[in-house]
Amino acid sequence: MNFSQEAAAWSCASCGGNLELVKVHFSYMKGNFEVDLPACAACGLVLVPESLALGRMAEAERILEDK
Amino acid sequence: MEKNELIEWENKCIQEEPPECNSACPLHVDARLLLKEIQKGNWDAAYKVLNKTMPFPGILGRICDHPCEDRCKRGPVGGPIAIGALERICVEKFAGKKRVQPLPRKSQKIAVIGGGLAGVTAALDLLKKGFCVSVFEQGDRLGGYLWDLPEQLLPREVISEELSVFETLMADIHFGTGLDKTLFDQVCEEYDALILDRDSLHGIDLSLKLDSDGLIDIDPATGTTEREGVFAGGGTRFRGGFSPVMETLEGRKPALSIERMMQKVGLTFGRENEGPCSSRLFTSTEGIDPLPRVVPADAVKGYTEEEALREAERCIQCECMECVKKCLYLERYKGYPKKYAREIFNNERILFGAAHQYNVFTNSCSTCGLCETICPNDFSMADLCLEARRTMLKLKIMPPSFHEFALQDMAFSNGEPFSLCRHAPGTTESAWLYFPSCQLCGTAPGEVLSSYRYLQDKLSGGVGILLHCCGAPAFWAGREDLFQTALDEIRDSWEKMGRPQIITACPTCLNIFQEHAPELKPVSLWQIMLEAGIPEAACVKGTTRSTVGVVDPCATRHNQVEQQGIRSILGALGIKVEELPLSGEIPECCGYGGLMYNANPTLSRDVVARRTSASDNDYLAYCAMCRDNFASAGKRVSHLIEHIFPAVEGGDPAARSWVSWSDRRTNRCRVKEWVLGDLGEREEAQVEEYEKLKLTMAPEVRKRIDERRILEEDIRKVIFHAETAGKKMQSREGGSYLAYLQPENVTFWVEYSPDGNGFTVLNAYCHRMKIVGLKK
Amino acid sequence: MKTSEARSECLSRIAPLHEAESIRKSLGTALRPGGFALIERVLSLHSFPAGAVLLDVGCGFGATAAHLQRNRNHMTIGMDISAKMLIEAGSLHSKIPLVRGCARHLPFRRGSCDGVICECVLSLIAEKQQVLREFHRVLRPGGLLIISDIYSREETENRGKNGLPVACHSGDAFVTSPVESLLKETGFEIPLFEDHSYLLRELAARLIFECGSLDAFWSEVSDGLNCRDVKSIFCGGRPGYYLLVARKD
Repeated sequence: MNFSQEAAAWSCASCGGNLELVKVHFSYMKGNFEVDLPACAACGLVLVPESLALGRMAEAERILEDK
Repeated sequence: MEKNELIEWENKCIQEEPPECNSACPLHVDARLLLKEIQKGNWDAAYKVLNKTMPFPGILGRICDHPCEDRCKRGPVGGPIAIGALERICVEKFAGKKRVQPLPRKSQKIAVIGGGLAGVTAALDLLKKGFCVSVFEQGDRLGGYLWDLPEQLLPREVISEELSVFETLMADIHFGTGLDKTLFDQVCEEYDALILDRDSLHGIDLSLKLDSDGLIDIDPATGTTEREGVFAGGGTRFRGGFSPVMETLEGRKPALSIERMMQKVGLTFGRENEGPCSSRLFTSTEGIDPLPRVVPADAVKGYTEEEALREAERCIQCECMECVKKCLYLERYKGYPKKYAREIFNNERILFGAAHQYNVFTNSCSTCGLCETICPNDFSMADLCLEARRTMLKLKIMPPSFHEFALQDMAFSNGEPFSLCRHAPGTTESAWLYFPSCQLCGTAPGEVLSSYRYLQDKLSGGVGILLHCCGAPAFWAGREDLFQTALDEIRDSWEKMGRPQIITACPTCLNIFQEHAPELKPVSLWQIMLEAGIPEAACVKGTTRSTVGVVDPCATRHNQVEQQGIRSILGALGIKVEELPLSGEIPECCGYGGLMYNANPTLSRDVVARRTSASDNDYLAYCAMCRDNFASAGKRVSHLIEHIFPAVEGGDPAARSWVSWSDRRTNRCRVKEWVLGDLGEREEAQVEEYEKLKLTMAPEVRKRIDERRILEEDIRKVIFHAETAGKKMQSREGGSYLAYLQPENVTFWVEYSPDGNGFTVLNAYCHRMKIVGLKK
Repeated sequence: MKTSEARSECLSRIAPLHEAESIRKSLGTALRPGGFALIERVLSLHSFPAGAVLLDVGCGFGATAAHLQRNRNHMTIGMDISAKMLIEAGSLHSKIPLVRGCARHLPFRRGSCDGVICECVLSLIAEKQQVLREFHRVLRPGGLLIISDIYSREETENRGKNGLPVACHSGDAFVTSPVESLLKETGFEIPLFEDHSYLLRELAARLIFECGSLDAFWSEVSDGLNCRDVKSIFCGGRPGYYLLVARKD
């Protein structure tokens, strides 16, 4: 899963800087996860692409919801 | 669910019960399977079916008197399947060598006196189970009466071939033995138990009590005689005609009794289904073509293979599956209620909620009650699933995403933005209390207001209004706590208003109140209208002269009065009615009930799609969610209220398309606003800053976000936050912005562009996983 | 999988799961579900004296040993059977004493350890009895054995309600640890047993992020073998994850 294309396609409107791939920390239902995503480290903004949100993330959410 | 509850559930569903042919057969031959194999031309497999229960398939297959045919469900529909004749060709065709395994020998010795059909059946059954069996026969061969049957019915060599099994099993046979009292006494001494073949022993005195046919008296359930250890059977010849299959049963029965006796087990319990018994299986013969039985070209030789295949084809392979035939949900999971009950039990007990598919399954039932109505035994998937949902919550294995959105919508309706209880303007008392329902307000706010004014006009004593949700979403989600709270709030308002007569405009609310708060004694708006008079404006102007397919909502399933009432109203309006196939007592849910749309949106869409294809006419519904769901699928559909209180003269309500969840909320707020307006109360509504944003959306974007259950309010919050805090990203190509916000449990993402004095929304999506932060 | 022979055969043919690329990425350097969460939990309940000597059996890349040294100031020796992993451990953590050895014959004197840590290792060893006896031998009296591992919740539930009541995160379940009787026989008492099965769900979710789907993960790990067979070894009977502390009498 490589989001360098998305990182290049967007910029941070807050400070005008580029988005770099950074380890972003997520949590859901007691589980903790890290994904490399485009982000602006200065402003703390993160980009979760639609494909990730509706794809692997949604799958992972389902697994975590089932006991 | 406890184990004993599971057993009760399973018993209710008769799908696995043996069919008529099997039940009628004294030996319970699986005739249905036999015919299925013949249909496929699998003669070997067909023979195996016979061999499983028949002791001498070559003999019985040819001479059986087939009582099964009398109960064949095909009887009244062209004629029973010629099972007897098909068995015949099956055993004639089988060419393979039969293999019989001699079993490890038991120590007990059993004697059979008389080698007639009953006797040899008993002997074979016991030998196969490992007992030492001695057969005492008067003549020089076994088979008794069989040898007297016509050669062409039962060839001599077949008898010999079939009975040669006794040689293979090394049975102890005494030919040429006088069958008399001396032998009897001797055998009683030397053997552990004995079976008397009453056909061979007819007329011979053994000092045993006889019955009215001159046969040794036995208990028909067990084959016991007055003497312990002495069993008997057979002799149908002397009771009104030789019945080969009953003769066989009467050999098998005492053999089973002896087996029980040797195992020191009671002789009588659990034997109700031995021999011919009734069948609990229900099979519908509706729509079956009354094809007559295939008659063999050569009556003497019987069926050719081709004729046999054709006759076997007529077998309808009896099964029930009535509910599955009608319900898409039951069909989709490829099972039937008995199986489903077990799967739910397993999911709770053993899998403990880990099987995602079962979790979805339990939450996909619309609880409409169709299966219960159709099932001969009233199996209710609604009861099963609702109970399972409550258990899932108790065990804490209910995935939160299944019902969250629907419960949030209900919370909105029961909160500040919508909830309201007032007397009518200018009154301080209410003899009546109008409960229009949150969903009807959500889709037809103007018409709801008109209907309220109509009620105030026609009814005396004061007509108050109560805006609230009846709690159905909580009930369907298994949330007893939230459900009772909603009902308590309604009861409180009702009490405060002096217990007025409640009028409901929604069939679901009517149902919920009748079932769970019967003291409210609700009555439907349409019944009031039939008594008080339909507004003249509707009768005169009318909005449609074409025929409409009336959609009875699943909530009116048992309410014929309501259904008839609707049709009367339509008649008065001059609207012609087409009765759709799933109407009256058997409507299906539109996909809203049971929160199917929340837990299983795909199924919900498919259910609606299937129903829209039932007719090309426009539909007319009198449940708000039915109307909205069909509209969502692109069907031209209107709600009855739009015809009674047309907003515009000569309008086309059926052309109004789907309503988004966001719009439903806005509409509900409007109803409250207008009611307060009529009362002269200005609601100092706090308009949030984000609500002031002007948004534009292309129709396909609007539809997409609604399907993803994203509200306009959520989008506003994101954009407002992004714009005021400056926290947004910008696309290098095109310059649109992307921002996100997590107000509660869900994180919403919006892609948008500024546009004049507002914003155009380009896309929106969401996820439940929380962003914690960037890792250093 | 029908027989235990077939199971062993399959196990031996696939690369140890913890060497799988996606598992390593999903578990991080700690190479165990939950990272350091479980060992930290134990240490919050049972502290070791100053100067305590701990042994991490199956230390992998030595992350736990390093963590304990750094954060808790306990001298922790890392031991593993894989030379490859020890070499990498050595380059990552130069200050940690590392030993190559086998759990069945621990290269340590009797009573020389205050604690033995065995995370995510026991389920992969066939000779559990021998290994537990070795742990018992090297521990001083009163020393602690800390075990965390995968177990089949179905099997243990079926054993009936005479197990230890568990702080179970999914309702009131009575489960027993799979090694409970062996531990007791060997001379341990068991002051702590907890179910932490949610960590497996977390692992499963991470594998989805890494591989796209669980099926994709099993394909990768099975490496030509039948996916279903491999999966059934590890996922049969409602897999769970437990934490256990045993004390040498």
